[in-house]
Amino acid sequence: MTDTERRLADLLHAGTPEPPRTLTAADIAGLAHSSVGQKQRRLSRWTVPVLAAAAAVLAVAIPLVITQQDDGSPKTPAVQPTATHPAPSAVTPTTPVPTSASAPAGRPATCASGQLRLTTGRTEGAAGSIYTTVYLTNTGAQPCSMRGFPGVALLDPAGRVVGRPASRDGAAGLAVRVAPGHRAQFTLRAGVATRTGCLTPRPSSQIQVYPPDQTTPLRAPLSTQSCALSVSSVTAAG
Amino acid sequence: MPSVEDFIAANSRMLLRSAWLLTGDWASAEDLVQVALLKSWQRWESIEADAPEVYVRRVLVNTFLSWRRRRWNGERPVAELPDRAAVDELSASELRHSLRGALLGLPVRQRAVVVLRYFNDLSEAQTADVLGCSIGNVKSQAHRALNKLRAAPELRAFLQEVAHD
Repeated sequence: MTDTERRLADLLHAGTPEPPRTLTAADIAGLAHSSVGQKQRRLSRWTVPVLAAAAAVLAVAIPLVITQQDDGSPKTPAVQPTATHPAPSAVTPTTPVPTSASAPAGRPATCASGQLRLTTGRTEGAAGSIYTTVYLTNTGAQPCSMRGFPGVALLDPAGRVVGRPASRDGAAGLAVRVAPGHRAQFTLRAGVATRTGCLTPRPSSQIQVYPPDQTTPLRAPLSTQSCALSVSSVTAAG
Repeated sequence: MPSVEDFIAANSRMLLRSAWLLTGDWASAEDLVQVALLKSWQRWESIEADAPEVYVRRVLVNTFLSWRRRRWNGERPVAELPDRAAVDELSASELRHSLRGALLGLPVRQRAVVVLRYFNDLSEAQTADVLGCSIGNVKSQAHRALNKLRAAPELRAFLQEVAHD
């Protein structure tokens, strides 16, 4: 190295600031579902929360959402569901809602993590995969809507992400309107070892879900294995 | 092979600092590191066991260069700072500001070479490997970058100073 090169190296080491915060695996896992993670998008990590907050302000749910946005740590779920039991199988008036840009004035606000309860339903195996139905119940007083894919990862008992976050199956679909007390669902698919190029499926004990367009995750117990995970978009619960 | 969690915990600080040098601000740096880690994570099991950091660094730099091609066309010139006699006289924040201004004045590929060679302390061969170019190309890019930085008002005083020791 020349003298100038050495000086430049010193300058770079001395002058590069420390980051305001560091990142954890949970930060990255949370990205898998959002547009931030897509290759060609470049959204500030604040863009999503800001847009979500703006939408929510329009929709009157101000106190709820502000609380949720202020909780910047994706590691701490806003809601800690206690449930092992499956969600009540009520008849659900969840109905698809048109998704055109000029949505009717009656289109409810996006469901915030803080108003949703996460539960898991049946698990069944078929053709090399294990399918688990996962429910998001609207515990709020107002109807809300969701569209697209949740961000899903499996965790070990200590809350560490096991394996890789889930990829997406199929299309984003229509927005789903969820009345208070009712629920929407999606399907988690896990590969079975030996078939899917996943050499070491690892057991997991919890599921972590970022509802569509949300930055706060929910967690619930779920014993399955983390291997080639994928999720469907959210649909009305049948 | 470290787990993804351990790797992120051990490396996110250095990755963020490198990304800050490339992008010039923390929001973009975080985006860049997050995207690079996510892409790497999705093929973690196929990454060479002994060198995940080489892989992640390559993804980081190439993601930065591809973003820059697509949308970072509007980088603004940074206001000139007064000349300073020596870097010792600069406060930490002035130093940071000077460094940032000088680096943002470089074309992105030269900037990437500078960060890899002189901040990440990679050899010319390792730098060429990350960027997918020849060693000769790394040498010429580094040479041009050094000339430009030496002439940059922010760093001129420091980089041109004759060594006393």
